[in-house]
Amino acid sequence: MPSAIKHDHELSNKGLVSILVEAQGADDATLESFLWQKFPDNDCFSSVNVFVPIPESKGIPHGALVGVDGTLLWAGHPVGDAKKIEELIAAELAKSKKGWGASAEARKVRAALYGKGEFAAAAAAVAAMPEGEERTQLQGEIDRRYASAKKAVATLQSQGRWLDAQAAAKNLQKSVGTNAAWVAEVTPLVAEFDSEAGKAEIAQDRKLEKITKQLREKKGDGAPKALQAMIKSAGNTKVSERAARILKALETPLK
Amino acid sequence: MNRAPLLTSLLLALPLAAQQRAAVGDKVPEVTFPTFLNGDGRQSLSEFFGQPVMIDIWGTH
Repeated sequence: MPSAIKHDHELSNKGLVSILVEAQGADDATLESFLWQKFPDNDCFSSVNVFVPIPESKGIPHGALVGVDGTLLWAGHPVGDAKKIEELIAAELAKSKKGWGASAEARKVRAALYGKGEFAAAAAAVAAMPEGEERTQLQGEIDRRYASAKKAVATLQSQGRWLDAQAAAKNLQKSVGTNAAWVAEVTPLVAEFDSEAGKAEIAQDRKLEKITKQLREKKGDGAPKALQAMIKSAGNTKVSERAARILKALETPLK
Repeated sequence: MNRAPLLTSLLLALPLAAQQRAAVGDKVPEVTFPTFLNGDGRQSLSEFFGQPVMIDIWGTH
């Protein structure tokens, strides 16, 4: 678990996704309390018990590394295989950056899409390809990736993570270039942050960010009081709902 | 025609299919995560295609 958080801090901005799966029967509320109290600097995708179809392994922690194309690259206990895991992750990040596939065109599209996060460049590269199965496959990848990026903005807003949502919306706006259909969809997403309601959420999230920063740095003794004050003054915002969840997670005794 | 034996065989096979595990070198079957703390709306493993995914299975006890 600490090694997963360390990898996430070091490599998430380069494209690594880290998923924590609690496998001892905790529910969502228990998981949230445990993470805020024991690992407040955790940013990994975190889930409770779900069957992960990798080779059976006795004891915890254990884990798996899935490559950029969905292939299982490693499974086992992370402590003993630390060096091997780091090498495999580095190789996959390089693959994502350079693109991969049977043809130079496929590599160019995937380098733009996954390596640089540039939808416009990926779409232009696909448009230059001859019709065929490979082009259809790559167009599908662009469509799915764009749908995920767009959905992320709404999801982050609903979770009360408005600063993250704004960053995601701006990145998306930059990455779609001048593609008219995409611009028409993304422009209102970005504009929402300049609305009165959006500005209120952003202002609250800046306050909450200061409190969570103290928690992350293990200097959060005053965090519950600061959260209570914030919730009292924040009004009915998604960020205040998130602040209330964090407060409850901090105050719930761990079993 | 008595379809009971066929239905029974199918039902018995279901848990095995549901528990199918990938070996190293295989494509990992789809996983749908019920909820994510710190998520961004992606719930299925396939939605992370294009990025390496490190999965850490751990416990709170």
